[in-house]
Amino acid sequence: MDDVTASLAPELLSEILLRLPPDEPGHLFRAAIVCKEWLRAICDPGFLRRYRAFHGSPPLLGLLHRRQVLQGDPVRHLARTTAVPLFPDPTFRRALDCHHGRALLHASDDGWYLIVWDPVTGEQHRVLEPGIPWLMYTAAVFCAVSGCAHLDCHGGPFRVVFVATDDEDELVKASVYSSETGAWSKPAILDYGYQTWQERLQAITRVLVEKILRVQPDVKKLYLLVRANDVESATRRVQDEVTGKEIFQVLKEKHGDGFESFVEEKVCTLAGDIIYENLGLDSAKLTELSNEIDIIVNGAATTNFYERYDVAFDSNVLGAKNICEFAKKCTKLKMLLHVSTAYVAGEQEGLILEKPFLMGQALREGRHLDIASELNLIKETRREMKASNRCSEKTEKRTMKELGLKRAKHFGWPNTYVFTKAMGEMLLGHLRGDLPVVIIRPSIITSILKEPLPGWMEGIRTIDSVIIGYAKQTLSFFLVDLNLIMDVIPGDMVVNAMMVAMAAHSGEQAQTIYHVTSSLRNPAPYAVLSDAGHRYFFANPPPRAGKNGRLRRMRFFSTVASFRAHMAINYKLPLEILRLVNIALCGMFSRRYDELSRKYKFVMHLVELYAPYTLFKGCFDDINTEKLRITMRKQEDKNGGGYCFDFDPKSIDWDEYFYKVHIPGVVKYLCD
Amino acid sequence: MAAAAAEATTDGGGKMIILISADGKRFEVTEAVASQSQLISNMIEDDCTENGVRLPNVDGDILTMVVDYCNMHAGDAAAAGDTMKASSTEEELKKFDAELVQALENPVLFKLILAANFLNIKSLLDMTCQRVADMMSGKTPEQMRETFSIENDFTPEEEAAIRQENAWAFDD
Repeated sequence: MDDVTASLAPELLSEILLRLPPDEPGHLFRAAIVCKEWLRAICDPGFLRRYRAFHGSPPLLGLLHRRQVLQGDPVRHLARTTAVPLFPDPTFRRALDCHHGRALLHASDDGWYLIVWDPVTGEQHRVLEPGIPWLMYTAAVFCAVSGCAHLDCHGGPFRVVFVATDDEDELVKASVYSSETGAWSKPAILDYGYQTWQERLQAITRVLVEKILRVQPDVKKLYLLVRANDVESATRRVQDEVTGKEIFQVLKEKHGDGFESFVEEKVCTLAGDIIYENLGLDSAKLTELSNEIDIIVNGAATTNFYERYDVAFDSNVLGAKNICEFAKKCTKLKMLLHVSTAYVAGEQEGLILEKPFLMGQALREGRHLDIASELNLIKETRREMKASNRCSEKTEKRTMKELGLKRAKHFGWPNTYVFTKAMGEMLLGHLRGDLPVVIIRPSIITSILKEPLPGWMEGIRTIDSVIIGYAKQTLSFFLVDLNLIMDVIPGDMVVNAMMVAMAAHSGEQAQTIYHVTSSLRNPAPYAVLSDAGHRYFFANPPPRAGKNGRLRRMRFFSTVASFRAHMAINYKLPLEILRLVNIALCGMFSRRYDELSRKYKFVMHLVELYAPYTLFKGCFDDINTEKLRITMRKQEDKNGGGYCFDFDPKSIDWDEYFYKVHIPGVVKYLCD
Repeated sequence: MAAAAAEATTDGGGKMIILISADGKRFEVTEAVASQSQLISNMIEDDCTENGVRLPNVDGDILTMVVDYCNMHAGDAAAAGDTMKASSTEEELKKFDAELVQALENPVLFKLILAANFLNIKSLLDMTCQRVADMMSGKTPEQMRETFSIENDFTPEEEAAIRQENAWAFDD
């Protein structure tokens, strides 16, 4: 038989070509030149679609690193992993994004500018910056073709979104560039300050207060320390922000008219602030408390990632110190429970253990963290700014914010929040003596799973802006790296773990750390949230839902010339998506310009806010927490009671949770 | 292996099926073995295997290989059923598969692909196609043409144009 392949039907030829390994694109190119039949088979759009489907995600052609370098110029780095030429290799300072076959780079010579680069065709566009002052910033590039499936959008129009915190006036601003008009949109303000948010009591505190009042009749008195000038306004705040909330509905129904007096009897509001010594309480009150209190819970924190260094330091570091010192004065104290965050681990990869920080330990090797000299640095900076009269309030704010970020990065933490929380833990461990201390490190807290009100989540805002966006139809679809695991944990489980830990460690003289996390026991991939979101909104279409259907174009290639461009279909993501933008959208940005800019802004805002979380590649170990669970179960079995303190993420069916509890909760509580 | 039809001896209680190749060779296999072919499996369901299954486009020597393959793999396909083959270990299977396709001349390999496709035996099709693809990868177009005896029907200009445009894929 002369030409053996001649006897193969075309579908069998493609069956074979389909199995050429995708990791080296050269194979397909070389096969295509064997004869016309093979070229036809490979260029067939149906084949290319199948090829993509057969091999799953497109192959990596190269990697763009975006290492941050603290001093000096960043190393620019483009590593090729195949023979495919990624040409021409532009000089850049920082890689920002990679989407729809294009990479977005930040470069500078005389001034700063952006480069939109198509590594497959080599096309480069130079775009001047939008003129938003930036300190923390991010940007993304998207294809702007209506209805494009992004299988082949090389050379087409694109948009660039640039988002930066304009910390001169504490705003997050964004602008959108269109390659069609060649201009940036007027910068839009995305967020009028997150300051108000931090003023609110943490949501987890509300859940804790509710649970204690509901299931622990033995607790005689709950003292709530509220930041306020006097007791009256403190009490008002508790009524407004704690007991007045819907989450207390179950209790209200239980007590009926007696609810108010019940709360009055059980809850005592104190006006003070943990940033002061003795928590800002007068000595009479202090003596009274120190003879009464047996358990202290410190859930106070400034949670703004990009807070002024002095403000974050006061509340997260000095606050921990003051609480600890106050605790030592309490003669009957059985334990101090400190709420931290799992992300004090910084950007470590791999399994992260429930280990305490040692005094002076920095995440970056070879650095020593001296908390006292950090405090001095803050004081010194303050003094310098006071001394130079030219220093406006704005500049002061900016300087302090920059300082926080700089110090955090210097010691290896990604932001001021987790850095100061880590220092707080350190101080606590160092100062506690033989005080019993439990540190709870939850990951991303999501809405309540079971009790008292499934789906309740006021004030718990983490992964949800995406869902809100969908519900309001400002985002038609979202896509993250679906393989990525998000470490989420329902708020009531965190509270249950806190309460069980309180009971388990009362009177012990040790320090114990608990990761209340899910990534190890029952990881929830983003895919589950995304699927659940899809199904939810399919079944319950948002009121303003538009037409979501997309039509794929069919194309036939008859010329040799078009061959090369279409080969790129298989390699449409030529570079690894920079992780920062994994949460960003795909595919649906294709309506009118102003409408677009609104959506982009929204999305990019999310990216900026949650970058430290979505970036995260570690996995939290929770051996301590698991031990706690085992002990608890044994006891509950003995008592024959149901698990009213369940905090085992294994028991969560994530799909059901997102579909039936979390997403409806977001729609109900946060979409207004 | 090619044997005249013996009286239907049942090993694990399953019915026996008779396969008849293009050149008239007869193969007797159990239902479990035969139904790895989706084609035959459908025929069994439709009850039309009574008088043997004629396979007019599969030669006896190819069918021998197919039957060997199916016998070997019957274990994992119908693990629940008989234990007649003391279910081969995965390693043995891999070794068997590798040896089956390794030594084949191209024309035979292609015939095997055609048979696997016709009989609709997915795993065999997968394996044989992969084998061919492996033979292609890493080869220059000239080597591929030689390996598969294919005539180059591009004009020199056409070929030069593609090569020039994608030079990176062609420097060796």
